Amino acid sequence: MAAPADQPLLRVEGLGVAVRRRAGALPILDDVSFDLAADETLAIVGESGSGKSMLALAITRLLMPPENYAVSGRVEFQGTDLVALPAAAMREVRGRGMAVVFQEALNALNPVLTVGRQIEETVRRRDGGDAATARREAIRLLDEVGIPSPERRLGDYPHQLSGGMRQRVMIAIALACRPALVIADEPTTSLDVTIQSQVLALLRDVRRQNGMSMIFISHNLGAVAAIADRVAVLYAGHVMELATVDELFAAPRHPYTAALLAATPRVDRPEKLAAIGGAVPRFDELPPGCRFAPRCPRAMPACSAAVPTIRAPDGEPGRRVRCIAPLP
Amino acid sequence: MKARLVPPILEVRDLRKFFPVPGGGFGPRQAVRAIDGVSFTVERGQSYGLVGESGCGKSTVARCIVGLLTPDSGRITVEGEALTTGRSARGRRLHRSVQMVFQDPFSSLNPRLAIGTTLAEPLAIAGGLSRAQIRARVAELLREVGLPENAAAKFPHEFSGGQRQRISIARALALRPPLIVADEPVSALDVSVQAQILLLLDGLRIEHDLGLLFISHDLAVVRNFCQRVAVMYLGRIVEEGPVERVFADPKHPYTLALRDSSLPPDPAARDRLARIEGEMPSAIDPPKGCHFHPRCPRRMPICSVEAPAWTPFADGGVACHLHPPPDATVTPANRGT
Repeated sequence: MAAPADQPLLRVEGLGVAVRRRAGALPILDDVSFDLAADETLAIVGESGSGKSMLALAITRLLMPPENYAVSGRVEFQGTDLVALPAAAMREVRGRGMAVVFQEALNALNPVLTVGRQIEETVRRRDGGDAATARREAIRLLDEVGIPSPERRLGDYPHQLSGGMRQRVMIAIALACRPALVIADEPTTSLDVTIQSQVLALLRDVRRQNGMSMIFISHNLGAVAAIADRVAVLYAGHVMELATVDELFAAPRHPYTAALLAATPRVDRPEKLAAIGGAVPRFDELPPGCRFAPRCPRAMPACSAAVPTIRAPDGEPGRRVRCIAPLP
Repeated sequence: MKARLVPPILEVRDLRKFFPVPGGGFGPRQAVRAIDGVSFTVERGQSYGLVGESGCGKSTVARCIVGLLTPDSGRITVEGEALTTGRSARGRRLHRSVQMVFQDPFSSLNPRLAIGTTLAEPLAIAGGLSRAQIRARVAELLREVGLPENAAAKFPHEFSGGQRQRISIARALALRPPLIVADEPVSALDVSVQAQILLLLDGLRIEHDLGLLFISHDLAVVRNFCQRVAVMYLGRIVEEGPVERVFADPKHPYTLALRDSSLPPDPAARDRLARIEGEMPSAIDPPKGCHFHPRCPRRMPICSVEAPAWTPFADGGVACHLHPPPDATVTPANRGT
């Protein structure tokens, strides 16, 4: 089912997710579109309430229970639209095509199974094969994710490991599927800075070595700058800006991206911080028009008239900005 | 110690706090050495950062200072007076001069009390104010932290995380304390809201000449909002000094590793993704000698044998065998400031 060479690995087009409620559907994600090439890392950056985790769940079809959500648009993975795929075929895609690394490894791992058992199960589900082969593969994977003396760790239960080691195990399980795409949802958020840096370096290295693509979801601009090739900035369910990581950090075009950068303190050179007034809107109280307009220092009356379409700014065909007056 | 006219707002000397490990059974009783000989000084109007990773003991230090924990040994003085615990009038008065802002604005406010009641409570307990005066002070506090006056009648659930943190700050300010201890006050907040709260705290510090002990794991925040910083590792301060010096020219390999692990929002720094080895060991059985030696890229044979003494600099100092003290009798416990 390999995609033709000119097609991206993943193409998300006009994706919308609404929560079905008795009072009517509450739209969360709206008109989300992006491509992900093979061997590429796309970061989805956003604050809480931006919808970034829901995006991961929508792509992997892990929104539970499914009947509570109305999903529209297309999520084309290796040429197949996942939105319309039957559940059994989707399980197959999740088992072989894509893997997810969650923020809280302690919740994502099975607490009553040893680490070795959990990796071996994944390996055998994929390859079949005997127990000894699966065990060898599990040891190799633990070694690949930098866990010291992996033979001895096979018998450990998740609670016996530190947060950083658990996250490494999660990555090993993800690798066991040999996926084309890894979706990492805030994979380093609950870790200490030195461990966070280790796990980021590991994710970057295993992605490269295995030729996978990655969607890296985070609120941490430092982590995003270190690991991403391209970045999508999400705010209140809309993609506000999409650019290469160098373009985005050097010259943000959307006022929200610029404000986010100006509000982030830097360890390497202290600068005067500029706070963004107000707070991210709740999804049941979204403002009309541009969702950032009420907090935007450059807002004009036209900003609240209609939701701006996302388009390429003048002279930058590779970028996308959802703003009627992008920054120069 | 140098003679000085005004005592520092906070002086902590050789603070120790061990927690017994439950269970255990026979054999020697084990203890978590949460803080093991910590000393530092905060001046009036100064923002002092205490940084380190989880488990380094920084929150235990904060809790000892505000009186939520009783240290095993050591001395804490606030404006020159020793902090006593317990219910004596003097202890109460001193605790009134130190107030705390907690990390989680969702669990640190009483959900059943209107904001006005929460803010009036410390004023009523302190006494000496009429009801009208208390009402006026509550309105003043709300104004100071940037909340509308009608916030007094509302309840915590009606506010966002950032607004709740403003309420916590107003509560801490109520008795006009000279010192506020803020334990990770912005780490539960989104970036866009974080900056609001940091700028608010900084403005209040300058306006009221407050001492601010800022406990954080976030070096970027400390670099931008503190004048001095102490770096903790497994219960000990490993380096201390003015922020510019400590961050521009870290002397302790741990400070360097911590700095380089804090990623700036800049793709040009991507190759810096740090390669520090290992994880922080347990405080129940910390490594012998320098606690950091198993992870240290520059460890020497002596590092696993002997704990490094405190080497004072012209301003601040470090505990590391790479920088031996000129006079080996100086320790963090008896160094002067």
